Order: sequence, then C-alpha cells, then structure tokens
Amino acid sequence: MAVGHTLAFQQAAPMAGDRRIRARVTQVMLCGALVLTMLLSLGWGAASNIDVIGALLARLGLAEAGPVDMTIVWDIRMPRMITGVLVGAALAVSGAVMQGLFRNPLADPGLVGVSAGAGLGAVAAIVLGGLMPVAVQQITGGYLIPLAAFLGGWASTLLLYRVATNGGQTSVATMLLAGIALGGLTGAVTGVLVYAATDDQLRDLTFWGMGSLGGANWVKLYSASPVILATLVTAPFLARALDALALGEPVAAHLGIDVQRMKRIAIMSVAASVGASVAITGGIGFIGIIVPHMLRLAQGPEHRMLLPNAALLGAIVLLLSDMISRVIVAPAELPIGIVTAIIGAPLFLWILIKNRSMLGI
Amino acid sequence: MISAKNITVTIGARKILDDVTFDAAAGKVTAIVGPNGSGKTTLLRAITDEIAHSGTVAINGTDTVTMSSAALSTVRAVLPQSGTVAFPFTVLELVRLGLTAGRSVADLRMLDHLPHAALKRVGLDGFEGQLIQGLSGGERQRAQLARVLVQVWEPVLDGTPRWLFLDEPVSALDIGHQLVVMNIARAFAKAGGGVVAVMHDLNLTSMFADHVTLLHDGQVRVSGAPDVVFNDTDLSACYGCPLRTNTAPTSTAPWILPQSAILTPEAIQ
Repeated sequence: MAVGHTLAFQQAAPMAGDRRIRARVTQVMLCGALVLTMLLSLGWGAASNIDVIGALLARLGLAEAGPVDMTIVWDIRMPRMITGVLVGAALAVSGAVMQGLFRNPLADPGLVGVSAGAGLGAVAAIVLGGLMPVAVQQITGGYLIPLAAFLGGWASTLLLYRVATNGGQTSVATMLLAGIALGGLTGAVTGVLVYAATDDQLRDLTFWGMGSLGGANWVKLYSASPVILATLVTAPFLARALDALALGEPVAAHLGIDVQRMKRIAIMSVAASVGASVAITGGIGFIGIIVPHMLRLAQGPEHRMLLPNAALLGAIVLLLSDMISRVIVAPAELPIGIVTAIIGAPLFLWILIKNRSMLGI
Repeated sequence: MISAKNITVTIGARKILDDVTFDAAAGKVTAIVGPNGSGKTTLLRAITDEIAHSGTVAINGTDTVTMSSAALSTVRAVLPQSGTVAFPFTVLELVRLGLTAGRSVADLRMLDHLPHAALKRVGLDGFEGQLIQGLSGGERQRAQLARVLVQVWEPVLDGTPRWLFLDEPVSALDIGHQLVVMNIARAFAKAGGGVVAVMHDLNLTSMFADHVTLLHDGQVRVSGAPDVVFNDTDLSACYGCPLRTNTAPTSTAPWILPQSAILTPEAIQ
C-alpha cells in the first residue's frame, strides 16, 4: 500500500462511521422544511385568495385582516394544520419506537393492529358512550373518545407483545400474524358496533376507516395534544435503551438497561400517542413505516437523532399528504389514509423485499 | 471475585445444571470447558443473570440480585456467543454502545477515542464506517468484543476489579485472531481484571487459562489449574473418546491430542 494512501486513510478514519453530524444537518433541514410546509398548509385550500400572513399577524395586533380571512385561517386551517403536525409526529415517532421495541423495521402501529385496537376503542366510545351514566359522561366529557382509543391501543399493543415475545425474543412472523388476527377481531367488533349505530353516529364513524384531518377543531386538539406532546417529549429518553435493544434483550440488560421497565414505558407511550392520534384523525397507516425507514437510510439507526427527526419528518409527510388529499379530487376530499397507503404500501413491499434475508421471513 | 454457589438450572424436565459451585478470581483467566450439552453456556448465562436459576451469584462480594442492571454494567461486560444486530449500525456506532454503559455524558466526551482504540486492539481499525451486516462472522465477533472491551476499558476501576464474560470468544476466528483475542483476555487479567470464558479449544485453553472448570452432564467434574484438569482420565471420560495429554515441545502446558482415536479401516466398516 502506498504511504500517501495510508496517511489519508488514517486521517479520515476518526470520522468514518460517525453519522451524528449528518443527522444534525438533516435536523436543521427538516426544521426549515417543516416551517415552510406549515405555512403552505395554511395557504392551501378551496378559498384561494386568503391573506394568510395578514391573518397571522392580525392575531398579534401587527396587521389588519377581514373576518372571513380570520375565520378560515384561525378556526379551520390552523387547528387542521396543528393536528397534522402533532399526529404526523406522533405516528412517526410511535413507528420508530415500536420498530426499536420489536427489533424490526416493519413494525408499525397501523399494520400490527394497534391503530385498529385504538379505533375500536373510539368507535365503542361513540356508539356506547351515550349508554353510560350521566355522571360518568360529565366526568369524562370530551376526553372519553381519546381515553377509549388509548385503552384500545394499549390493550392491543400489550396483547401483541405478549403473543409475539417468547423467552425474550420477539418473533416477526408471529407479530405480523397476530396483528392480522387482532385486526380481524377488532374489525369484526367494530362492524357490530357500526351496525348498531344511529345515522348520526355513522357519520362520525365513517372516517375512522381511512382517517382524515377534515374533522379537526380546537376542542379535539385540546383533548389530544397533551397526551401526544407528553409522549413526544418522553420518547428521546428511550433512545439509548432502544439502541441497546437492537442487540437483543440480554445484551441490552448487560449494557445497564432496565429492559422490562423500558418496554413498559415504550408500550405505554406508543399506545398513548397512537390512541390519541386515532381519536382525532382516525387510523392513518404507513407514516410510522415510511418516515423512520427514510431517516435510517439518511442518517443511520441511532435513536437519539432518529426520534426527533422522525417527529419533524412525520409532521411534514402528513401535512403534504393532507394537501394532496385536498386537491386530488377537489372540491371533494380524499381520506388521507388513502394517500398515505398509496405512497406507503409499495414502500413497505420494497423494504420487505430488500430485507427478506435479514428478517428471516 | 466471582462466587456462584449451588447453581441449578432446570428447563422443562431436564436439569441443565445440577448444584454447580463456581469461583473465579480477579487477575486470572478462568475457563469453562466441557463437551456439547455439558452446560457451559448455561453456567455463563446463569452467573450473568440471563436465565432463571436457583443458588446465588456474588460479584466482588455483592450478591448480583441486589444490584441494578446499571450498577452491574459498570463492573462486568458480557460477550454473547452470537449476536444479531437489528438495524444497520456501523461498526463505530455498535462499539460506542458499550461506551454509554454506566458513564455520564461528561465522561463520554472525554472517552470519544476509546471505540477507535478498542477496534485497533481487536484488529478492526479502518472498519469504523462499515455496516455490521456487511462483516464476516469473525469480523462481527471481534466488533462485538470491541464493544464489550470499551464497556470495562479499565480492568480495575477505583480499586474494584471489573469482569469480562466471554462465551466462546474465538469460535468464528482464524488461528491468528484466536491468539489476538486470547492475548486481550490475558492482558485484561494481568492488569487486575477478571475473565471468565467458555472455551471449546482445549489447547488454547491450556495455553491461556489460569484456572479451568471442566463440566460434564451439568456438574463440575474437576476444577483447578490446566495441568491438573487436563489429564487423560477426566478428559476421555467427559468427552467420551480416548484423549491423551502431552506437553508441547516448547512449553510445559498440557497438549491434548485425540491420539489412538483415529479409527482403523476395520472399525469404520
């Protein structure tokens, strides 16, 4: 080997394999892209000549804006946009956490029945909520649906993990098959509830299937955002444990991780954020798969940077999907779940084919 | 000091380990040997709390049951027999995982050079940027060893010996790298740390171990220095084939050969 070549190689070596800087650059770019997408989302819609900037500044007393502009921007588009940001972030981070927990890039709350469980909880709350004692209804109030969605998501995540994990190893095939069974079961029960629902309830129910940001409003946002924000803030604390878990549960324990405790926190966090998301937007699939996968390709799998960047990119992808769903059959709206599925399903197949040997399925 | 007393492991109806007592001293390489199914790996997994067992295990005088995983991770590091990595980590990212165990963020900044030093020690310098999934079996085993080494880089910390538990650390390695890895274990012990290794190769064990525990059918058959444990009678009985020990030409370490075990043409028929 030539001396010059050796020297160059040694100088380059300390940086090789370290993708933290690349992840930081990605983060900065995603922050910028998110701000742009958020503004674009506010200006995007059936009413085209809206003075978005004026309406935004008017709230701060810096400009004047007409009442129509104020209503459209602040009461319709703003809650929808913030819902998109929070739910997109929640779904992407939940996907990343779940993939880390199951040690598998294909685990997604939407695919393995967690969203279905949360959806069942929400549907049950809509249809059966009126049957509960008035006192209980008063206590739970607007939080009944998110709470029921959380419980449904939590129960299905726990069941899934129990079924798929044996002796500290989580089986991918078992997980996916159990997810199908769970999805079938929750689908059937949901079907019974839909059959029993009144016409008014039916309208509420129809959007659970494919998901939509169309029903977003401030009340729903207030009920779900504390849960979603709490899980987004706690997720980075799981980062080191999720990295260690990639080497298997025994190794993670030897690296000083309290594995059982960490798994409990991760499951609760996924169930809470997916439950809250499903409660306000219905089931939106594939965000949890697309986003972490793209980021792992771009910056590597270390969760310390993967989780925050997944939140950013998840928000961007969901907002963009929402914009597509609003224009593609305008003036009507396509359910957003259709858009994410059209983009996400082929990508899922691609990941499956690429990783076939690694996944052992 | 590792002191494991009355370790019994039962899986289903089968007793894998039956009332095993095992000691290992700091400053020494202690090897666990025995035929397939004798309970070597099970013993290592029991004393590192990976599987349920009866009996007690103490590390440096403290019962491991009373210690948190975080506390344990600062005094011992464990290299499993085979390890799959779920996501495409680079070699550097993998090794850095060992660095984070039990260390504060401030410590980590000071120790950023350790992964490179560990990779150099196992002969993988220049491999930092490669993905784990792209490595050969032997390279992967050495990358995992580097991860384990950075976890307990100083063999003695604040006067307390630290421990390396290695499950067949040389099983995937060529003869040159076998020597590299065994010399790392020796150096760790020489500097005051403790090494407990499950070994298959009796001659490597004889060369590098200070103390050997020979298991047979889930029990300790004999335990002591290599020249005590490696004798024709115990080895032949444990492994179920005629083995004869000798001494290597340039050393006094016992040398084990399956002499007289080569079947004659008549026996094959």
